[in-house]
Amino acid sequence: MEEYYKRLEVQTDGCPTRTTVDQAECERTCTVSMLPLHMDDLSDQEVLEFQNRGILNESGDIVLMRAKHIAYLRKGLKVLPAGFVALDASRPWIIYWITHSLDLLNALRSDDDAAIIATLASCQQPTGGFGGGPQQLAHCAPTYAAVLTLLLLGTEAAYSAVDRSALYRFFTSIKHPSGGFRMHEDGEVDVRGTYTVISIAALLNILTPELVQGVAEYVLAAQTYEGGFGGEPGNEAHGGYAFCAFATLGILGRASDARLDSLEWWLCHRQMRLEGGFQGRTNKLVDGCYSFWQGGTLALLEYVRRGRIGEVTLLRGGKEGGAIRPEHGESPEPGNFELLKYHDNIMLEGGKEGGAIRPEHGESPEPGNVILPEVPCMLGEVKLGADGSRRCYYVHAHGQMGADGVTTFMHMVSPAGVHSGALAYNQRDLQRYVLLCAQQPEGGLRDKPGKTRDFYHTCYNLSGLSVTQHCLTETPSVLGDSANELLPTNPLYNITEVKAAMAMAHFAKLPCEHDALMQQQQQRQ
Amino acid sequence: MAMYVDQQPLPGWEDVTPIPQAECENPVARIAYASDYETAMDYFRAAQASGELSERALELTADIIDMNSAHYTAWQYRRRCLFALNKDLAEELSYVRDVALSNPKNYQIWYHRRAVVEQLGDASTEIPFVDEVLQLDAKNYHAWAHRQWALKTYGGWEGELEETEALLTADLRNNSAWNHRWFVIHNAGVAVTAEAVAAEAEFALRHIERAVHNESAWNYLRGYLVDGASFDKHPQVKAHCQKLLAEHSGAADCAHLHNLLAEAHEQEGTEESLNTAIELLQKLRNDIDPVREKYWDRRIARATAKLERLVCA
Ligand SMILES: [Zn+2]
Repeated sequence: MEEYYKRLEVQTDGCPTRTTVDQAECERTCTVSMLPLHMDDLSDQEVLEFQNRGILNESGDIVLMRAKHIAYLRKGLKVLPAGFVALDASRPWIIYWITHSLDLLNALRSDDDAAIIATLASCQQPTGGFGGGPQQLAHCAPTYAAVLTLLLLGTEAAYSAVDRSALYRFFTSIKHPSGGFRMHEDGEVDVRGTYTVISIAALLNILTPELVQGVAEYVLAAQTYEGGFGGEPGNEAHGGYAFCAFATLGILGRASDARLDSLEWWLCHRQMRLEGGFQGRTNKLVDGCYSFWQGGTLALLEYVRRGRIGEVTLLRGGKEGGAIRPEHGESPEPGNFELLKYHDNIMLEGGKEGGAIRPEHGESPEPGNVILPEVPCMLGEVKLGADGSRRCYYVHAHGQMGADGVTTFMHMVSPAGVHSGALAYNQRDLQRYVLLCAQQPEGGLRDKPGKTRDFYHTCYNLSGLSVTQHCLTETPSVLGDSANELLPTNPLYNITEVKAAMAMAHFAKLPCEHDALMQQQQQRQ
Repeated sequence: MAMYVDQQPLPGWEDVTPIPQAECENPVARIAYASDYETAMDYFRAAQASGELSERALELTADIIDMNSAHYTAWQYRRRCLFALNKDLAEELSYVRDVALSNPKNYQIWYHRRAVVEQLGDASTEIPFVDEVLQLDAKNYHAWAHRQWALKTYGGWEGELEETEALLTADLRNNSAWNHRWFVIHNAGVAVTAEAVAAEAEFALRHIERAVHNESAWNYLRGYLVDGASFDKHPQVKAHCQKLLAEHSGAADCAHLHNLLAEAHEQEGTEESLNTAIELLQKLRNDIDPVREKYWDRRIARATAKLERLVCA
């Protein structure tokens, strides 16, 4: 089996340089982590050791260490040590990384909702948008993180915490003549700004033709000769920017105007042959966060290729079935989905409907509630897609919810198993990287072996894992233990697909005209 | 708002009432600030609130940035102070240099530098500054973006191609240097003629001869030929690749070589060339690069569809 990896090692061609030295060292550390893949090579003693460390279950399958990740994440919502000061201008990000990770793990509790909403509200600026903390300037990045968090809480209180018209006014104030957006007043312009504004505007139904003007052209100019996208026109192709650029084009119904074959070439070659994870740029090292940035872009590309991008933009209309093309006189129309009624199978006590707990409505299980393990309880479902063929189940309860308020929900739609999947990259190898290299035995996920866990890498490793398990497949592709399955994320907005659909359904009812949005703001002042 | 009971006033700010952070009750993800950061921020908020643009406010932003260089609000306020006080901006650039060298992967520093240079209207310091950062990390994304901005805005293209060559001599796998070379060729105001493309293809092939598995050089070469659909205008490239395949010791398992030949044959579009392309792609899928088998499957399917259309027509 050593031979298997040998064939995949970096080739120096008799001309070693800094790049190959770093790459060889990275492969060495990853190979050590990946050993349990080859069970046949392990002695019984070693198998036992891996099982004791929680990496393998009794049947020898690789395990996503849910409980440890959940504990690590929940702790982050409390008080962070002084060393976190470097993230003092990114607090909405910390909150998003944690809550979205918990949601993917189906471990989001409503206990903290009020505190989360109040904290984010304290970062919202009277002139619109959110800052990195209280009394900080409004900035696109924390605005994106704050709004996504509120939408993934999914309650009326969370939705109404966003001042839509003020936010719209902020977005128009940072619009740049290039077609892009500044990150903040007197701030930089790049495709991160574009994606954060356009995606949030789409979700909140404030995506007006005025906002969209010139955006696609700005983004298209950032596609490089390699096929990926840079932060600004001319810059090197880079995974994070490629996602921002292509997701923006997807929302705008302009994805087909990019050079798709070259994009696919570039994206597929960012997956590392030996490690299985993605690198951010050509000849750089693997990093777990690109499981989402590159893997997610490959998922979006596949939706575009199949003419199904509307299933993830959740918008109707437009030539690509995705969104608006203002130059063609089209306007946005949220609603490429159908929100079905919640089921209220009486499996639980408590809850407004006398049975089901609807955490998204702020309800929590009452002390003493017990459900029989292994009895599934469906709490809700959503139908997605233009053809109505796709059905995603929100939560299947499983296990115990009880006096201590601990919910051991598990999402278990279908018998899990790993299959090659519908996306263009190697989905099995990516899962192997996330589980064996990026997962930290103490809980939390990381960039690569040798680096330390953090909330950012936990979020994007898990998001990438969710994309690869669920996108464009009826039967999830799950490597290892069947409980490794996460809730499906929307690969474009990166909140779970049900939360994205619920938000769309909510905001679709509110007005979306430039003049009205500008006026509401003035009244408020 | 009142000062915290036990808080000592910041020296030089005794006349100002500090403004604490407007934290909600029981906030989540609260950071247990060190007291010097908290104090500095309390006075910073007070300065902001009164609109004070002063020497001491400028110094305060430096203190905050020293503790948290990602504090974009402090950076923005710093610019306001600098410009209002007509500070010596050359001095500011040397301050930014110090912060950047110890913290080179931070958006705010680089944007600040751009804004200061714009105000100064002189970018002559910028290429040497970027060179200095690239010495620490030749692939620093912000540094390259800054360099490209300075060139696009203020010119100074002389020596840029030589610079990429020097960096490629140090590490011919430095993809940022390859990307910069493309940037210079396409933005320096010189027409990209067929001769220029031929010279760049030759440049890439020379590097490929030295390290045949180096993807950066292949992507650079590919960029000129694939999306421009111009293999037929540069037949020497395909010939060179065929020679490599036949003679180079590392060619047998070189995915990029096989791929480029496949793309050349696909572009030709005859029945024979499409069959050759499919054969090459199958070799990639089955023997050379099975990890990417799904990608090669798609390529094979597309080439096959093209062939079928041709045969049916
Ligand atoms: Zn990362």
